[in-house]
Amino acid sequence: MIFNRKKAAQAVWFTGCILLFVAPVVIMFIKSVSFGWSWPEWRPDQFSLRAWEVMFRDPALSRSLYVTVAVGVSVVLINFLIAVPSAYALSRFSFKGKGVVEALLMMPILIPVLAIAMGMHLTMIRLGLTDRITGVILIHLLPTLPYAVRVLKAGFDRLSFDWEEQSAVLGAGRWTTFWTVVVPLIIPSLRSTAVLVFVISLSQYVLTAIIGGGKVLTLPMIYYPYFNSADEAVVAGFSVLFALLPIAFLIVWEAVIKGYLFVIRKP
Amino acid sequence: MLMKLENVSKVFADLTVFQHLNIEVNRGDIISLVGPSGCGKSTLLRSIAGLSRVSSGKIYIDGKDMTSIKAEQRPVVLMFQQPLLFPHLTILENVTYGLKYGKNKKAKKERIERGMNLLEKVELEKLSGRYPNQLSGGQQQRVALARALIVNPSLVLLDEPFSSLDPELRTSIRTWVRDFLKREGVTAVFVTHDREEAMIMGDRIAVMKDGKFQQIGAPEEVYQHPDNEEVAEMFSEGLYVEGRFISAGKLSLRPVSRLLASDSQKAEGIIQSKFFKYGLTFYHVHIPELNQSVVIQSNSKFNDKEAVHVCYKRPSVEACDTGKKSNWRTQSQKNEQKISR
Repeated sequence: MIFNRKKAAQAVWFTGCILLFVAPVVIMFIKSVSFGWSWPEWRPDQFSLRAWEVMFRDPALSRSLYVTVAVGVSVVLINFLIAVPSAYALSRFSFKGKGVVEALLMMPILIPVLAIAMGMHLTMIRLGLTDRITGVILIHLLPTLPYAVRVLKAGFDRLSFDWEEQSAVLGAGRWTTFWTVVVPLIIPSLRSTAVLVFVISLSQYVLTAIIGGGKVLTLPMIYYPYFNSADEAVVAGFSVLFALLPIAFLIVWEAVIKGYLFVIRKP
Repeated sequence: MLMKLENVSKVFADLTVFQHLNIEVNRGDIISLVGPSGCGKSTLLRSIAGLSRVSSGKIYIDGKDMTSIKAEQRPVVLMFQQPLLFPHLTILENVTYGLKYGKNKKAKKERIERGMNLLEKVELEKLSGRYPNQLSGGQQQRVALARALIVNPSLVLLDEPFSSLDPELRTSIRTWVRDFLKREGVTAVFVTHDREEAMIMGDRIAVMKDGKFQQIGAPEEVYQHPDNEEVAEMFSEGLYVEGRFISAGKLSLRPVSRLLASDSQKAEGIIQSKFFKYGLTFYHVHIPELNQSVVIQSNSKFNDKEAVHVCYKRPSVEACDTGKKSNWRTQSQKNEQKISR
């Protein structure tokens, strides 16, 4: 009896998960390749790739895909460049005012980002960074860097200092130790950071609009106008494309990591 | 002489970890550094390895002053309590780490050759392609030992390397490690808080307490002739009477009713408990007038809480029970005391 109840609970849980997480994506994909699918039909009248053709025929789309990926990848790399050393320092060393520094680093996500962006906009106009991809990349650091530092610091906190000392007594210098021991051991944190930062950057609309001035067109910038159209298949296709980008990013990321480990390993 | 500490101290503003330590270690010797936890022995080891700075004094290794040399530049490898094998590397990759990234880099061919050679010596060559989490705790420590020795360090420091292993494995692996280090002619400092382990591993014992070396000497010497009460309490078994140490092997138990005329040197004790080991009977005896407890082997039968006389001899006086105390019994008692702890 108890066994059956447990099984039933598992079945409910499983069905619930599929309904909530898998079904919407599948439906969205089907929608994007279907032609006319309206209530109360249980299946589309016919399938067609029309929506995808419409999307890819738009020259703005392929251009914006390129810009989006370029911005996203740059933001991830700059985040690593800044967040890894800061997180390492915050985790490994104690110094006066450490609490203040940590609080300051969290500020950008405690204060409404729009309030900061408005002020930043003026500065960036003076610096000539507006309407340019550089400016957009820089402003995307605002909502990403605090998370990156946070996640990586937690990663370093969990990593015992013993590993670095072990490497040192075997004769490896600090820099070598960092690349051959520390980095491989915090790959899980690096992965979370990369994906989180990429997705946040991918989702920016307002910041890109303000600093990019409508001249830097990322995917969200052209996604919204499409959303207003009545063509449900195209909107669905767009959404699928949006969801695929982080997945593609993750696959490339994993390949890079595998390659990196392959190089530093070797007996 | 391979290593020399000269007046080495580690002092913080409000805390003295150790002070004015002096010791010389000969090439090929294994020194057991024994002491209660918190006596500064691990910090001393870290200082010799270069992971921690000393406040004053000099550390010489191979005749060179190493006091201000970085850990990665010292010809010293420290083995930690945990094996700390890098989880992203295979066993062979772990073992060759020091040759690939250390200060004396070697070509790939030589790295693999020496790595496999050492893995054979630690009898793990068949597992060279495995990952650390696929190995048992004892195997991991053997890999860690191979990884430490591949860089041909002048000195190997072992910081309680067996403390994470279960007791049975511990007993077998420490003998194995001692023989291995001896065979390879490695100079080593071995830290432990376990008396028996210290005696098994070390050619010499350095007893440390309160940040000082209380006594340095051969195991038997320290055991039989402790320099002071601290050493006696920590490392030996016996009684401290009128400023003089009497080894447990020279003590015997006598029923109160059957005191002999020759039993002039005695103290009154109470049997606390008894246990059997190595086919013999041992008694925990408390001696109120000395406020000390001791384990004594006896062939007579006593009951718990029974009052007894503990007899001992002074150098000039005839022993009260000489015949019964042979050497092997002292040895077995040593072992017993260790295990019962």
